[in-house]
Amino acid sequence: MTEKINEDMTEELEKMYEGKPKPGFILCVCTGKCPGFAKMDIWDLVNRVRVELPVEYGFIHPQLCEEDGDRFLADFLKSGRKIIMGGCAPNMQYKMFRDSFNDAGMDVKKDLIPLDVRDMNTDQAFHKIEEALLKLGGEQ
Amino acid sequence: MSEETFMGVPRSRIDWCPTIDYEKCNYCMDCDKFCPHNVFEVRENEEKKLIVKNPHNCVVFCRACGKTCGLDALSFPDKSATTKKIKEVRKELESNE
Repeated sequence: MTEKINEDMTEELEKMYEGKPKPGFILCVCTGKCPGFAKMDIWDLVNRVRVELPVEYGFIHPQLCEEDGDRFLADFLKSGRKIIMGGCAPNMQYKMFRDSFNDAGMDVKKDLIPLDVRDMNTDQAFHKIEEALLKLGGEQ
Repeated sequence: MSEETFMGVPRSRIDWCPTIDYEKCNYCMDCDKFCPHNVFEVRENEEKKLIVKNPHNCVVFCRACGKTCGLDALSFPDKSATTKKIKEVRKELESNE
């Protein structure tokens, strides 16, 4: 039953994003040593998202809130693409990445979709990302 | 994935955790609310209402709790000094193998 619902949602998402710009997905894992990510398989999650969901790409970054993360975002955000970020608390993501988005001419409140996926297992995090895509697709 | 090591070095040998400046801290507890790793402990009935209880639970190079602090009451070790120490310990462990 759950699988049927998931398939339906995936199909709905595919239709929703047909011919429309897709967001990128970043899983930011707090060095990979953060116990908040211990319940999930981060590789399974990122592979499921990039293969099964309507995102332009998906990848793992070890720690975007560090200085090298700022440098990475300065390069990366040049594309102007919306980003769904699985990571820590949304209020923190807004705070930590606001300057990088501003510098790239983007609005962190509109162009970043921050999701707190800490302490979730792979399925729970995947569904949260699916739901965010559904909401974003409906707004486009 | 092991949480016991970081960059090949036992976490217990890496000195990385926040230090609370009690002159600045107003005990808003935003840092504790953000951190899910029980690094801090709230002690309502004591003079110091917040302490760093479990320093080795802190994710190495994470400074996110410090960024929640509007009063700048949390500080962290110097990153390059910590990196240097990590390299030294790793070298020492390799030479013991």
